[in-house]
Amino acid sequence: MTQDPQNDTMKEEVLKAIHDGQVKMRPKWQFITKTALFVAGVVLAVLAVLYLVSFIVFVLRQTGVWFVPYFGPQGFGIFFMSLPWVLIALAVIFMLLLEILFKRYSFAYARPFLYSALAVIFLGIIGGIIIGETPLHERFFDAAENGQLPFAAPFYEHFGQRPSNVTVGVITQINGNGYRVRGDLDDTFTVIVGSQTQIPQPSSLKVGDIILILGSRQGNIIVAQGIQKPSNLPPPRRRAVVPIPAQ
Amino acid sequence: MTELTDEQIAKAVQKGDSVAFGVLVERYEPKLLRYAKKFLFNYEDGEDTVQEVFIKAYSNIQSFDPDRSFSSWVYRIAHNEFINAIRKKGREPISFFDPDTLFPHPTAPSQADDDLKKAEIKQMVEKCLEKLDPKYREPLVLYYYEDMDYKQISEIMRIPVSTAAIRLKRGKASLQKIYQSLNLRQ
Repeated sequence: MTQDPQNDTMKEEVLKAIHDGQVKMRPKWQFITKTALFVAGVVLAVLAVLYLVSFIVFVLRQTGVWFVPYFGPQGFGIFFMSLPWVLIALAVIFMLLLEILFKRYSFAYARPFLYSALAVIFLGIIGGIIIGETPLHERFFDAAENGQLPFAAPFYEHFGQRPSNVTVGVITQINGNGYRVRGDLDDTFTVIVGSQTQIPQPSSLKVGDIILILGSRQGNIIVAQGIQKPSNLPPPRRRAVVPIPAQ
Repeated sequence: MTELTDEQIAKAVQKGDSVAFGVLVERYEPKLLRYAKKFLFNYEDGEDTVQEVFIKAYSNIQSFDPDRSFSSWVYRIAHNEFINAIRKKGREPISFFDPDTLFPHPTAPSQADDDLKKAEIKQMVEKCLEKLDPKYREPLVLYYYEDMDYKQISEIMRIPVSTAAIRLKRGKASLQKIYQSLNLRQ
């Protein structure tokens, strides 16, 4: 192979720098450590996304907010106002972090951002919903209430509060114009049904049904703006979760 | 040694044969100098930058996976060095964010231009380099001078394949406009 002088010069300069020790080959363990830290970062970000999304799903279901859109436009308004925006923002931040970390790999950078972002969002939401269906957060919630999770207790208690005008309870008695209901903490109260109350079919409600009530509580009475009986509504909490007192 | 593939030589370097690295320098110096000359057309320190590319490549050779293409790996290092060189000089703006990478673009599959057309576009690139935006200049140089396809350009620039294709398409359109305006002035 014939080399031109310039070629020889650069090759010689590079090899001289290597032989003189001016340039050192970085050891393999540095790259392995870097990759391991990177993978650990990805795993932590994935876990954070799954935890946050599943916690959001759990909180929405537990507080009854998930079901308020059953009440129509007013329900959608309450749903939107009651979303845990701080948790949603945190989940979005971790999803963005995950997207940035994935961009190191060709499966992410070789495709438009939209595709990889949608994949991250889709996996985060589906994974979160699946985990949200497991008893994981229920157990954390119970442990937090029993003082076994001192660091997480304020977190679970704060986000476990129902909106002031949303109540969940079990019908214990049916009266002429309403229901006697057992809510959170075994607290009993009366739900009054008026002509303006949105209610599917009064005859479909019976003792033992778990119902979602829209309306502010005044003392021991709720004048219901709406009552719904979603099929998978979680029952009222037996301890610790207290409805925000009506103002 | 000259019959070995780049990847086999890189593997030998990883095992401590630093002399073998000289063969890789011999093989890639003309290509990277050409890439630097076209992409950093107006920057006097192109040779120093290429030398820095080889030094970085040697220093980081243990991160190279011999099952993958050495060419794409070393061109990626060169791309980073060249972009840094342009940023340092501050003569041409290079954005960290490119909206073209956000959404998919419908593009035709990578296909070779015929020799005549390729020679024609090469000539246009040569004449209009300084007028071309770096984000279009680089894919044009990689495609027409380094004979790379969309996928290789995507790997080197770390952009979606469809973005590489759209930049080439827009680059060619921009090239034609510049070329026509230059010809009109003459």
